[in-house]
Amino acid sequence: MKLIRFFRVSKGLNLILFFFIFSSSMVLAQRTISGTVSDGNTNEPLVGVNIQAKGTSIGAVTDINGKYTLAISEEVTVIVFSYIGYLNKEENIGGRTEISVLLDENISLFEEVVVIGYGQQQKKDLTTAVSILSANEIKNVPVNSIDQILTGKLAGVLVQQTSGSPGAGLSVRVRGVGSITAGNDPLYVIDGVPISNDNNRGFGANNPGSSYAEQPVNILSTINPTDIESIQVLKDASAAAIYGSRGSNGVVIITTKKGNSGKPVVSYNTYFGRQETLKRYDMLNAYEWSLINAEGRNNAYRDRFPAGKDTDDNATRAKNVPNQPGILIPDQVKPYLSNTSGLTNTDWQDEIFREAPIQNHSVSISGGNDVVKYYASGEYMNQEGIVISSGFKRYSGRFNMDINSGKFKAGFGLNPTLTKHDLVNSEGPWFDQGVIGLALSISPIWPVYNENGSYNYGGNAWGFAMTDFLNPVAIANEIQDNMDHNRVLGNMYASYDLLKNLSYKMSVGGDINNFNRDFYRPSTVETVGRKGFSAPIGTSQTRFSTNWLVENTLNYNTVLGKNTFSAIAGFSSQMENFSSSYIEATNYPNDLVQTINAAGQITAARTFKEAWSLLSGFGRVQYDYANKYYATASMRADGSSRFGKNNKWGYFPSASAGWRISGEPFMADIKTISNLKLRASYGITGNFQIPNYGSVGLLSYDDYILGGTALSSGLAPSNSSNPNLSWEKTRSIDFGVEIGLFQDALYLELDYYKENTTDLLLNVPVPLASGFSTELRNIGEVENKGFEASLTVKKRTKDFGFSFSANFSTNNNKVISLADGVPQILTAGGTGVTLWITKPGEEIGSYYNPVYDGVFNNQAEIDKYPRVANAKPGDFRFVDVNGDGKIDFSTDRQIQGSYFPDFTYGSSLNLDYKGIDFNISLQGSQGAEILHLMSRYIYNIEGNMNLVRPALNRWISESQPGDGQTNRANRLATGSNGQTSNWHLDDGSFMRIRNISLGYSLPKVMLKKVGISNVRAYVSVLNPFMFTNYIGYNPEVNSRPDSALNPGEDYGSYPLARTYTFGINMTF
Amino acid sequence: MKQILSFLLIFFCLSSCENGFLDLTPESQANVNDFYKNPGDILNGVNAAYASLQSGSLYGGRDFMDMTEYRGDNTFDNDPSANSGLRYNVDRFLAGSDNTIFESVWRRLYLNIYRCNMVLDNISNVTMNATLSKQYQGEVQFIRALSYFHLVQLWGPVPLVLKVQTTEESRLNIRNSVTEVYAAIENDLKLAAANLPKSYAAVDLGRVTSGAAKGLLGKVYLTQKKYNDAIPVLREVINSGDFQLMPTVAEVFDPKKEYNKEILFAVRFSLVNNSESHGLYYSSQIGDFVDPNLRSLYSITDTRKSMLDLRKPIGTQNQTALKFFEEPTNNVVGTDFPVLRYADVLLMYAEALNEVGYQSSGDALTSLNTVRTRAGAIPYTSAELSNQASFREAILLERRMELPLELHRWYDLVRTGKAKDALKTVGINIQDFNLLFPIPNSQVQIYNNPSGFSQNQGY
Repeated sequence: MKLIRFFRVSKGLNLILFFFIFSSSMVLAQRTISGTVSDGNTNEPLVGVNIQAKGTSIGAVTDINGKYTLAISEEVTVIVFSYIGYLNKEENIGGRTEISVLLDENISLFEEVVVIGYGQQQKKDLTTAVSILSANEIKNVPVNSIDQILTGKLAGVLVQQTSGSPGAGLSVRVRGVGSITAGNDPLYVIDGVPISNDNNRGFGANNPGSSYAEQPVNILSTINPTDIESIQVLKDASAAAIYGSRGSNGVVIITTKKGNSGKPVVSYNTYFGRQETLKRYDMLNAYEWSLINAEGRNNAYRDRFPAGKDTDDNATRAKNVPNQPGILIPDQVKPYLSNTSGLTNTDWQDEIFREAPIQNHSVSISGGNDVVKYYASGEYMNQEGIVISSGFKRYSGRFNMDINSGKFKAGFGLNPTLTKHDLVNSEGPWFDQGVIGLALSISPIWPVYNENGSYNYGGNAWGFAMTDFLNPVAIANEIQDNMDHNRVLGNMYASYDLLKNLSYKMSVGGDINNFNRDFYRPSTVETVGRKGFSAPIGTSQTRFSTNWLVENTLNYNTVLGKNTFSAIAGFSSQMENFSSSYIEATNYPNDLVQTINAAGQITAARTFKEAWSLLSGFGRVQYDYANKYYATASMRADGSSRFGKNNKWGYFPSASAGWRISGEPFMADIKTISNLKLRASYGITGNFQIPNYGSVGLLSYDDYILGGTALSSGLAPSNSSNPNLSWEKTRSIDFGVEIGLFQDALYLELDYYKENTTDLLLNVPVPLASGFSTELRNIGEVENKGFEASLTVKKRTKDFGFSFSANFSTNNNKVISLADGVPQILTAGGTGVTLWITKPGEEIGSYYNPVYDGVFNNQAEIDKYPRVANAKPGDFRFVDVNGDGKIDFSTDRQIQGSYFPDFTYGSSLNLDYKGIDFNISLQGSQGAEILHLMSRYIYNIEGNMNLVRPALNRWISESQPGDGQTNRANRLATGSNGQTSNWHLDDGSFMRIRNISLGYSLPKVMLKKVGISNVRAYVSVLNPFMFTNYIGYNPEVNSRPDSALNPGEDYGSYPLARTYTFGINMTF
Repeated sequence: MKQILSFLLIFFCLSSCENGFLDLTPESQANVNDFYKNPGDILNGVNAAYASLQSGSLYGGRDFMDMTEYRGDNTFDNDPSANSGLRYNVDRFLAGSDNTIFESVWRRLYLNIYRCNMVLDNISNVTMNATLSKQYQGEVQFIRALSYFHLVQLWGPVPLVLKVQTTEESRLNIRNSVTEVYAAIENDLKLAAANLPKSYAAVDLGRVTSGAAKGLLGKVYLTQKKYNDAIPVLREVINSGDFQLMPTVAEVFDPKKEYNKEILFAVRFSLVNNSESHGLYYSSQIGDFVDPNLRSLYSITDTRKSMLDLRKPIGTQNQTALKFFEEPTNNVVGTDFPVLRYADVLLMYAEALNEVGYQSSGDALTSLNTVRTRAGAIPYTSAELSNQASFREAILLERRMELPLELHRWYDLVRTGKAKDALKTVGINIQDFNLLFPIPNSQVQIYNNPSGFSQNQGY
């Protein structure tokens, strides 16, 4: 019933019916036209050029010799030649039967064909904000994943590599962050099939046996980048509104390569590379560390026993201050204090990082004839991680086929892949056994291996109040954690021309994912805090998801004089089902067999099923008058199982208009300006990334033990019901200007936008006395507004090509309102004392912590200043923010910036001369702050964990105050120095050279003799340089990329890699 | 044209005929709409109320210990560095209302209450055996009373929620007076004592008995100084014969003898799976967490002294007291936590009798000496405890020696008005306002009602 109501309200559909009635088809006399199509520069015949009778769907394609034959009715007066990368050409037929043309290579973006939702359009006709990345820009950079290509390339599309882990996800944000708790990932549409984001967590869970969430799996990591034809990002709501309730985070449309008619073209691409860490921490060596270790203990000792001397031995210390191992000097540290040379001095970063190889081979074959075209490819990629024992392999295949037989068209694409992740817990903090966190924290006095070759666990259960650290090399090498991801992504379509101008299309899509993960922690890896063999733990997890889509669309196009109409209307239904299982076991007799069957006891076992469904109707009409005045309107209705009972359906309208001023007669004289277009759009989109059953009050098991060991099932509500639960809505306006100068050799595009997201989905804090801490509700409003500019300069002569592009974006994020009664949302991160604030007038998830202001140099300074109770000289001075004369960390806090950059930019330069090509691209971000929570450990000057080099600038005494910014060494810290404050904040601004590559293509004349059409060899360096003041590995780090409320935390992260690559592209 | 229209018709029908396509109900999670319909559901609801007590915020973890044991003078947190002194600050009275431990305990206690209210609100709609219905009601009445008893002792006036509330209703809550809260606790415990059976079949060992309800009621009276009410109800427990002291103190805590005759009520744990287990209680790396003064109180023959000896699990540098020691598997253990045991009842009985009127010999002294004798300590003579004050002191001392680490010390100090003195002897000066904890800051902010829901004085 809802659909019928939609049908009534949709003007778009009525319009289509109107066209049906007034259109008619007639039978007319036929004639045949033939000819050759060649390149205007080289005169070489072009294969696969489309020739179409204007205003009809009748067409032909050139063959291997550039020849074509076209049978058309006498009514047709114009034929159009179009070819990717070339300018379209229209020819008046007149009386000719042979028409041969030369096509000019297209250096203008303006004529480019852009894939938009449910259709395509020429760029010059666009009235919405769409960013385009074409095959040309993709082909020369060896990357292993699609989103890496996007990095820094498109204005308004922020791609952040939050982790360097192979196969890990990148964070892609289109025009800022609009949602607080629902997802902020864009919708990916691959060959027309909207892909679900729900698989990006892999298992949606933590590392086995850990409490810290792992970095997401990259759902695009299964796609072979060489299969990509183009990527478009629909940025404004008007463009994205056709995707309705999934459009508010932008839509990334990925189109894969299709075959061209002609004899088969075989390509072989390969590259080999070496990866190394781009940046490392400068840590103390064993001698330096020992010095601070002892100093921290001497200070702790004298805090408790002022008469104590640094030279007191441990027995004396224990007598003076009983039962406090934190004041003793560990026996193992003593030799270092006397500067005995030749002692163990382990650089743990050297031990866990390596130079890692990467290689890729991909083969494709494409070809076809007028009726059938195909593209097939196979790829193998093997990337070892720069952290030992981590890696990623991909085996992927693709087969695309298209059939064009007069009124009937059909096709399919099939993309089976297998990816294998060799996982290491690298991102987690040391206390969660993250190997990087451990490598930075563990003392350098321990060797990696004992003399007998076994792992050294000296850092574990050491005593002397030393924190327990496991050996990170042992964890990386000995814990087995492998995940296989099997995926089949496919689509199929058939269309039929019902009338001259009207076609019907049905398409079906499917995405099947199967994850399998096995984990085993052997007895040889010690348990934290316990010496000796541990009890092994094994887990086995599976996750299976199927996603299917059925779409029916009607397409109508007509030209009436200078009026061009096109319209589309359709219905689609989509559903996704998940099932997962988890088994955890222990009591393995030994480490020989590591699968669950060998375990003596299953400690946890569960399976889980979930599903969502989406039913949609949509329509769009596009109109242009004389290629000057454009208008578009669209409407989508989405019904989703995720929404509450009272809110099952949502409606998403949009409208846009454009004026191509350069088409006006008064502009005809201004030759410099080849193109000038103004456009404006408005639309409403939604965000459907809310929990599957968020509106339903769910019960959770909470069992109890009775009678000793009998498990008695308990069930209690775990969330409250909200039948009004709805999607988040984004209203957005966009104004754009496009200017092309000198035949579009210089092309500038400017956009201003403002997006207001309302009905934010928020877990609103409710009184705990209600039995819940939060309730999921639609409240509040967030605004994102910004400015984007992109510039392209292109110049091409016969031998020399030059292109330069640059982009710049700003985005201002502001919370407008939250729920009534919720003045602000405070969110904790990796520790309970670290806070982020989300409140009206501020950015989502701003850092909100006490303000540190240097160290106290002496007791006199302490006495005249508000301070925490046990502050001593050398401890941090905190600012009494509210001026009440005392330091209270619950109130003395201040907003201290956010993870959002002020602006981001990217630029790339391509040069080619004869056979040589050169590319350099860079990317940067300015003004983001990073919360380097690792400082809490490796910069705390307790002398407990290893420390970064600046720790040497500590306060030692009043006469040796260090740099005046760094607290004194103290194993039993006083003065709350560890309280997260702006001391832990660091500037995340950076500029990174993304890529430098140099290639050489062998002369074609030479190759032709051996039957090869193209060979290019190249060398490239990915991430050669990074300019930043950030202390950690990666200034784009984000421990929780999925959470908008507490972003930007660095609690141990996988460093980025610098990759040196050599590769060859060959075409036969 | 006709073709097209009929085609369109089919097309719309195909799409709109998918009735129920959008009404997906969770397949792997039970939902509220189908629940509390039969006796089995109610039983599940009751079990969940017990399970709530196992939470890491209560008897399964450290937060509750920070507030009820470390806060007193028996134990110390020696690590000002860990988590920026989160726990250290509670122990040393430095913590403000933003300390997350307070919120964690507050949240969990109200979650217990919510689960109990859920059962009590729904049970009348379910047709079931009347005795069983009474038992279920009694069980959750006890758990609700226990939760409020903690709330009122820790924070004073707190919102009294006796029915399931919508979040809108919940926003209107105010801090009800201490008297109102205690009245509700007493009411619940009286009903529980009447509704509950004396004992259960072996498979149900661990459910609340009428004896447990009476024992707790005695403690509630004692805390309010209603000695004349406390005496008969405690006497009933003692005379019932359902409970007795174990021959040795060690046996009370023996993991192989869990829920023995001395236990009135314990929160049960097990290693049967991870969610039923907990970490080692009082596990500490830095220093001895037990006050040396406490250790020095015991005579040589007193077997309770060794219960405080430090033990390390094999290969670790963590240490805990023998009382709660069990060699862990994968860092977790399955030992029960005693909430109320018979020795406590005897000492409460003695205390109540002494407060009503000192007697040089009689039940009070007998009860006190029963506890001492079992532990191998020398019984007091009438001459040693020659007046009400000295007897009172002896009882408090005995409670300290008998029940350390069992989460009684802070409550005992506050009840007897000795908190300030006791903490002074360990070098911590506190003021009157410190006898109550700060209300979690988040709650003060949510209610945003200075007259009805204010922060405790001094915070």
